[in-house]
Amino acid sequence: MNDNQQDIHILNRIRTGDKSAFKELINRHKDYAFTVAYRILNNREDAEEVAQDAFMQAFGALKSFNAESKFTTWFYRIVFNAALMQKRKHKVESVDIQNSSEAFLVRHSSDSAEDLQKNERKTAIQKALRNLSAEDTAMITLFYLKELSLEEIAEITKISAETAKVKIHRARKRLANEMKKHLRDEVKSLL
Amino acid sequence: MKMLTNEHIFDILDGCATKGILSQHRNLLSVSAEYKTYFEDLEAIHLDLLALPIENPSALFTEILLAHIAYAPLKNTSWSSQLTWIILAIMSVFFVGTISLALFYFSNSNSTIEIPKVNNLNIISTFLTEILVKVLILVNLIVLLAIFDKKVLKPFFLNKKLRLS
Repeated sequence: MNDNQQDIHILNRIRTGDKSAFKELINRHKDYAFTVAYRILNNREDAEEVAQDAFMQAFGALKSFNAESKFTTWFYRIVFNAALMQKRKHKVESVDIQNSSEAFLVRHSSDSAEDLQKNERKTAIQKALRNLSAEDTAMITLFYLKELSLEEIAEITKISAETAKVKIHRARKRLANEMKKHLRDEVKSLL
Repeated sequence: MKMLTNEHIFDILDGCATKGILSQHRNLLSVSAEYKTYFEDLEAIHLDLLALPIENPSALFTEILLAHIAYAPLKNTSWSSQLTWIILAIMSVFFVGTISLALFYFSNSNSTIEIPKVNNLNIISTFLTEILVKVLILVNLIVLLAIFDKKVLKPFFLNKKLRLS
């Protein structure tokens, strides 16, 4: 049984009133739903709220889900929309304390030089992602996290596969520019 | 030699570049140091993105969500989606009732129908007494309070309770 068939099987159990199936479905998709929301919103609390709302919306609209399509595509669309809506609602940028530079230094104070470099790059890329627009971040997240196909991303974001491809390319280019800018700032601060 | 566009480079990184692009890319790597550096930059970012970890929500994520679900159990069909059918059902009951009453009346009466002359205004004034108006206002208030409690107060206190927990 592949992933989607397992999802459909769980959904059928939910429809027949099996309460434990809810838990199973949540545990299968919570990390990814949370990550998509978190990358777009940059705030753990907001992301958690959005992911939970998305699950509630999905459970409330299970009747409208066509069993022949992929559950994840349908569900990630709900998460994507909910996160974008939340982002529009709270235009003010919020910084997650766990990702601040100070927290980074405290967390990695005992790491080796190589680990430090790796972690620094990771932090740099996360910072660069935060500087991109919500749409760019969402495109990159959808493309890289579960390596969704362009067709799936197109279905989630309601655009054509060709447009999705162009948007992902542009988002990556902008990310590269942000990374360059970030590294330049780092060098400047060292001098 | 002609440089490759960003789109071509990303196609190479995604593993969906054509043979022609790939051979051009190999040539450029060996000839142009500038291209090599640019490609390596994008490749590093591509690898960084691939290595980005999946985030984990809080440990109570599932429990909180299950509590929400327990409070608002899955509805098979919502009231609004059934509304059309309910109205149609009521209409058809009235329609069938009227037709059957008319058929029953006409089949049992040989004489012509005598419609009593009634003053409509008198009927209305009989019903619209002061007591009736008060009862109607009271019923409306109770309904409004019930809606307010269900739609505003209950969700608010549930959210507060869950946040505190």
